[in-house]
Amino acid sequence: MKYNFLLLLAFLAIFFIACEEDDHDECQECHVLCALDDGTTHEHEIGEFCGDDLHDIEANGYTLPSEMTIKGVTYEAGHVFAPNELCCEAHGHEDDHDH
Amino acid sequence: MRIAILIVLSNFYCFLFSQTSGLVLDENQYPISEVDVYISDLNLLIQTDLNGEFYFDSYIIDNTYVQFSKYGYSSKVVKYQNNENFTIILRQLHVKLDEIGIKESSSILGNNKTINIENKLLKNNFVSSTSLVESISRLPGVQMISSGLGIQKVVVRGLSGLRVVTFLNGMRISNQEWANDHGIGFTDLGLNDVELIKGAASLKFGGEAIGGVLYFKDSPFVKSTIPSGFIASKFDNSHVLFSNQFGMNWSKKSFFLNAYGQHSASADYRLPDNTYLFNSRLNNQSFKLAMGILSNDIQTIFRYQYNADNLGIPAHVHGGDLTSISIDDLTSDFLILSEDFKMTRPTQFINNHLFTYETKYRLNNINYSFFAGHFINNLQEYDKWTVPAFDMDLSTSTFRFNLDIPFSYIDINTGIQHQIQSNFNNITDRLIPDANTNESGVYFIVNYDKKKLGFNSGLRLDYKKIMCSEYSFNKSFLSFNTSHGLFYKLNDNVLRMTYSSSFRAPHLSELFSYGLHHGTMRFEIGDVNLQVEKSHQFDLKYQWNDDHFGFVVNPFTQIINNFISISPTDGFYNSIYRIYNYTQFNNVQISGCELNVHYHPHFIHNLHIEQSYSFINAQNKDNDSYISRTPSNKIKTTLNLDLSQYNILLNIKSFTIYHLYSFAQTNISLFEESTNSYNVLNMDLFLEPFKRTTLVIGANNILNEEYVPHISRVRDVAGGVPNPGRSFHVSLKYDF
Repeated sequence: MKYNFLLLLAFLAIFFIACEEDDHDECQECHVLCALDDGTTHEHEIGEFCGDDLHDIEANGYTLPSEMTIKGVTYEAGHVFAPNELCCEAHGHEDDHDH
Repeated sequence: MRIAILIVLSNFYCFLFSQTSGLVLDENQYPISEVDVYISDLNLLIQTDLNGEFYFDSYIIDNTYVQFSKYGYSSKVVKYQNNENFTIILRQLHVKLDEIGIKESSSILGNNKTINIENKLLKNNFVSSTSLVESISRLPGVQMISSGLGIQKVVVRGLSGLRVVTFLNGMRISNQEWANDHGIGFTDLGLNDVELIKGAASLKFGGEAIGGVLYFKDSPFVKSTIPSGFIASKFDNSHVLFSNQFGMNWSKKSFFLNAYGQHSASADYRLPDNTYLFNSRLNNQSFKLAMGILSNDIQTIFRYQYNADNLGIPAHVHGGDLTSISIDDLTSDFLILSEDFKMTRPTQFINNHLFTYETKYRLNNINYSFFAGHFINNLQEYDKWTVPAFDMDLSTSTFRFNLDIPFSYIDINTGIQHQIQSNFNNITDRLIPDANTNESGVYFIVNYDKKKLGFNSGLRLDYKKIMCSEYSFNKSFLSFNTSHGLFYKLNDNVLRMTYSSSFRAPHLSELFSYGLHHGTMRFEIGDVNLQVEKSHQFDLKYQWNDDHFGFVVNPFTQIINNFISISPTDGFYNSIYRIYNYTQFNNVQISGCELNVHYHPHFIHNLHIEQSYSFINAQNKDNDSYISRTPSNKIKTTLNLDLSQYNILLNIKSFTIYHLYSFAQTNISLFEESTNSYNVLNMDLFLEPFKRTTLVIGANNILNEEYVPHISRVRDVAGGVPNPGRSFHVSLKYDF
């Protein structure tokens, strides 16, 4: 009985130690999403954003600091990409070579 | 006052000194040990000792259902009578037919003779199966929508979501189940079994259950004055899944306690080509507590369950033409274990709290029961890192009062139910609005059961009121459900016929959706003018078995009027996400047949072969087209070699092979692609290397088949993202 109880305690200790919190890296690569005529979507990288800056563009959108041409379309400085036209998601790990 | 004290004291005296005992024998009058004796009204499990005897400290009231079961023997359900000799004879079986609905058992959903109720044991599911939903989907006519282990939900005869109502210990699980990316919401932790009715034949629980009812039950209380329980661990290499569970049972006099906990974490799953589906990871923590006071006339049970899921949403793309996406953009070439257990984006964070209270009281042979439950579901879906796409609290409170009046052959079941539901958005971004729903139901069911003949007939009336100030919507819906079943047994032939009709009022999501749903990668628009969905189902089940062979034929047809569907349009939101509208078809017909064969060759007594065939055809009769996402036809085969009587290496108990053949699905709707046929082969070895220790070693998808189920959540992306490739798993459980 004592052995069983100790076993359960040991198991519970491992069990709860394993419940570690999810911590995010606060810096993320972000892209603007541009719909192309062929029905596909192009992701254009706009750089890495961290902390409050990341929150700001995710909540309010991204304002172009200078004119930018993406796939033949020119966007004026001050153009605002809405939050749902942005993505700062991570992607899978790729080998150096194509698979 | 004195009289009252005397009554209380006399009851107390009865409780202290009365005892119920009985004996379980086989056909040769030899005692059978370790028979599970389940007193269903008390939710209590006891076992026979080496002499086949069992004892219960209190007396059992007349007409209480007591179920006797042991693997390899016929199960028996008896109504206890105090003045009768409590000796039970169990027949040794050659054919074990528990998976195909022949087993006699006591059911919460109704009389399983007159209603087509399937039952699946889940008490060892953690070690014997990769997941709860995968295990249930082995039943004929049952499939699953999934994208890895994280998001999984049950499909019954082609219907899912709001049409398949899930109950957990009496409480309906309302967890935004309308969407394919919102899973079942709990794990197999502490579960004993699940009962399933395909279609709307369950009136007590079945308001709105056009597709069926799944009723999950916790493990019963166990008489155990010193704490008993288990610890278990599981590892699966294709998901890099680590999962641990513990359980504990304790009792003292009339007080019973069960407690369970679970922690699971997995990384992204491996595809057959040895790449990994990015963000198919999961993290789960669950805790469950049940306390019961089971005395002579009154039984009270309180339960609490917490379930937290962090689920990655894999195969996420930003709209456009999903078929033009390359699968390379969705996968990783390798795993980095220090990173790939952490949540990335998009992710669902789900927290569920379930409180239930139930009390049963018996007076003058009438069973009164009261149930109260409160379920809180918080769903946060993050497409971005710091701003949720939506964050909703859905709270549901249910009250149910039931009266069960048993006579010798007739059982009358009647009751009322009231449910209050509130959907509240914690942020301004929303897909469905804040709304309140009040729902009241009343039902009346009569069962007649006399050996060879039985029938069931019932009515249920539901009134539902939806109030949404944001849309100035205040509308009531009235739905009327009926079910009528007939049962006839002649020698080894059993015939069941059921007609059921049910109505389902539209849900908030179907009425008011307006927004981008990242989990499904579409912009969804509801329709406030949707009408009540109406279903009529005919179900026929014929079964026959002898000592070595058994089969079941179960044809069915279901007609659904005003079928609510979500259909793609040619429009795009922000030129990126396709717009989907909720719409209604006048006439949809779903028909099919399920067949089961169980064979036990006389010359190999230890071999059991079980095969099921599920055929389904779902058509929109408005334009003679097929309904999208109809599951493909399936053949499921299980071979089980029972080796428990031999003492083979490490005490091998059994060896199981499971094979699934899925036919190609070419009956497709307008915007749908067909899917190919496939084979999946799994194997498991069950061992008992030490006393009270169970070890399971197995492999899934041994052929490393690259396959995409027709109802996979990620079928439309990149031409279809395959299910996991070959995987190996090992589970260990120690009972104390």
